[in-house]
Amino acid sequence: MNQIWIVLKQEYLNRIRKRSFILMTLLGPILSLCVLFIPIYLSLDTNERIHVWLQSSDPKQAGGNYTDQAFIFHPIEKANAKEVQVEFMQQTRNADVLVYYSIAQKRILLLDKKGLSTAEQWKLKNKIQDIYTKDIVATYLPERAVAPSMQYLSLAEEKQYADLLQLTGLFCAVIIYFFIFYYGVQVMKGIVDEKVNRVVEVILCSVKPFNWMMGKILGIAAVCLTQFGFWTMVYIWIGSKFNHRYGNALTQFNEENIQETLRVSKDAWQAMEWNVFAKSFETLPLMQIGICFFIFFLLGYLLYASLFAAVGAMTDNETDTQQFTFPITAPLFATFLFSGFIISDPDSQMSILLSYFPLTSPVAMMLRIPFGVSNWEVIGSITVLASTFVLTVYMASRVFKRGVLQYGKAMSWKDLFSVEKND
Amino acid sequence: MSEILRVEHVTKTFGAYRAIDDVSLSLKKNSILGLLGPNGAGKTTLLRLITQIVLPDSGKIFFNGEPLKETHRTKMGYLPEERGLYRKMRVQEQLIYFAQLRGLSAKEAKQQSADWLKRLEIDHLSNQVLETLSKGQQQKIQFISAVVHQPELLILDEPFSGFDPANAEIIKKEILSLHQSGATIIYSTHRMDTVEDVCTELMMINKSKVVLQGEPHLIRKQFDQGYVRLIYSGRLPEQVSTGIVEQKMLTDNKIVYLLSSSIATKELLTLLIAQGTVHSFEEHLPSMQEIFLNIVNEHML
Repeated sequence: MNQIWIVLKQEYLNRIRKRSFILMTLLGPILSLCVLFIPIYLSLDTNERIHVWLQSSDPKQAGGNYTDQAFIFHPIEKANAKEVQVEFMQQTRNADVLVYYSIAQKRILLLDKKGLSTAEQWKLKNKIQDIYTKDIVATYLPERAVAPSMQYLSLAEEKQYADLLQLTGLFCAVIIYFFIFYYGVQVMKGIVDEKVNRVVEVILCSVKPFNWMMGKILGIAAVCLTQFGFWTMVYIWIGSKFNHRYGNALTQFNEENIQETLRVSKDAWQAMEWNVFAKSFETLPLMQIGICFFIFFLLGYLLYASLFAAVGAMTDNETDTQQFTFPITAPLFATFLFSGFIISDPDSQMSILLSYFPLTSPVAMMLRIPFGVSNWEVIGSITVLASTFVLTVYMASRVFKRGVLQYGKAMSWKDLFSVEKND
Repeated sequence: MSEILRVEHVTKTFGAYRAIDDVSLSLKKNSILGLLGPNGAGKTTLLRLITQIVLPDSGKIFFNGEPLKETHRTKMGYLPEERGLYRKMRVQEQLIYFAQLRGLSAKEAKQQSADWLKRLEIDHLSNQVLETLSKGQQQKIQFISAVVHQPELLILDEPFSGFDPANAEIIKKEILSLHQSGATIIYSTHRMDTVEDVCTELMMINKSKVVLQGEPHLIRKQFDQGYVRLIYSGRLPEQVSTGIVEQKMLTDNKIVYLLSSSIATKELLTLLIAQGTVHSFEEHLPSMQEIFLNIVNEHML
């Protein structure tokens, strides 16, 4: 145990002092935020405008004069709101939002088929306020001096919610895949390096091969957790900064003056966006995701790292590792090929099977969890994964002992299978 | 004196190649065993078997009377032939690391490594990164890493390779000093001069088998052919000249002879003095170099 601790400590200190580690740790949050926000930014920067159907008795008023960079207005002269709705729903092109006045409800209704962002919703509401309400007041509510209220109904709400679940699952799965692969390879590379520079001979005359292997695996796990912990703290810090700035910014406004504020203040817009973003996360099983992420991440890494360690022990140089690396990483990679399928149908038999199979479960289960997976199912999958890890470490240590001691001679697949017989 | 190491009929093969074939060895505590043999004879494999870097196919190895086990690793120090240290790590840091792996506490490891750096007069290098040091300095660090934990059994594979004569002498002195403080030492070498000076036991391996084993002076005695080494001026008596094995001109009138003679020493000297001048006359025991070459050549024929 003491030897494992000494190797672990040395491995950890050696790696966290490397410039590449410091650089990657500092740049990681920036890079990942870029990866997250560049596509969003690019998608915002399109010329695609939103087509709004505006039911009005006055064709001039609802006409193209109000069309701008964001919206194209299509005047609808039909008086029957139901007919307009049916037509709007049937139309697949150039029909994103329908705006009409409900005489019965005495309010303006906005039906959103596209799923506008919060900013777009508020822009549209303001625009409607400007161009539409006077006419409505004049036509239907001459006795009232104030504009009627507006109700926004998103028909695409369910889709948006599913997107968030899919994104969360994919995000967790990508992170797990990346860390397992990157740090697993580090374990293998570390062992091959020490074989190449001959330190292994000095090490093995002092340390049990198993202790050395475990020290290396756990040392690199500690490095990995340090990096990940730092990133998490950075994200939490950024999140708390946003929350501090925008979280309660809107509570001081009531429904009337908030619109006025949103019209003039960019900060208020951002606050609105943040509140919607933060609120959408409340719908996720965050606690379950967090705990499962940590467990699957750690067990997945340990399982793959011990396999990678065995590969490192069997080969004498990095080029030789290729023939063994592919078969090991194939299941993890294959899970990604199935990721689209898993997030589109998280409860299918295939998805369930992949989330139980230990070589695929760290990624597959994380893809399923945001959609809601029962705790006993998660515990079952973790149990399978943990048991496989124990078995793998036992097997890997035998392969490791044999492989690493086969000094100057790389092991073949045949040697690998003869391990049990000879040990 | 009790036995520290016993090797019984050990065999090790790598694929089709038999690196060690039925080797046996017994080593008393506080002795120095010199392991000789041409390249590829199996010396390094034998040392790796003792240090548990490779495991034997058959045969047994005992350390202090117990079958060799994992915990014995920390009681041994090993200097491999192909040196291996962390190139990017600082000198003292890696010495402390190796010492801790071999059972010293962090404090002891720090103290011992500092003492050894001072002892080999390289304490000013303790904070340097290894790859910035010269080859000789790196060799010294490697030597310290093998002895820093004060092992009972020190195994040195070609300890003098890479050292200039002055530094080789320093290392030789340190080996003797470790021996005096109670350590048992096994070392393999090609340097016959050090073997004769340093070793209390010798073992020669050729083609994976032990071909010679024993105390150096007894081995030399075993190979004694009764030759006499003579430096002489004048004409050799006829009954002596028939036994010339080798002769070499030393100066204009002095010749060095290696003689094989059945004549008793006293009579021989009388004969020689009567006919010329005897500058030197001594019993000639074969050097380890000669024995080594003889055996290797014999096996090659």
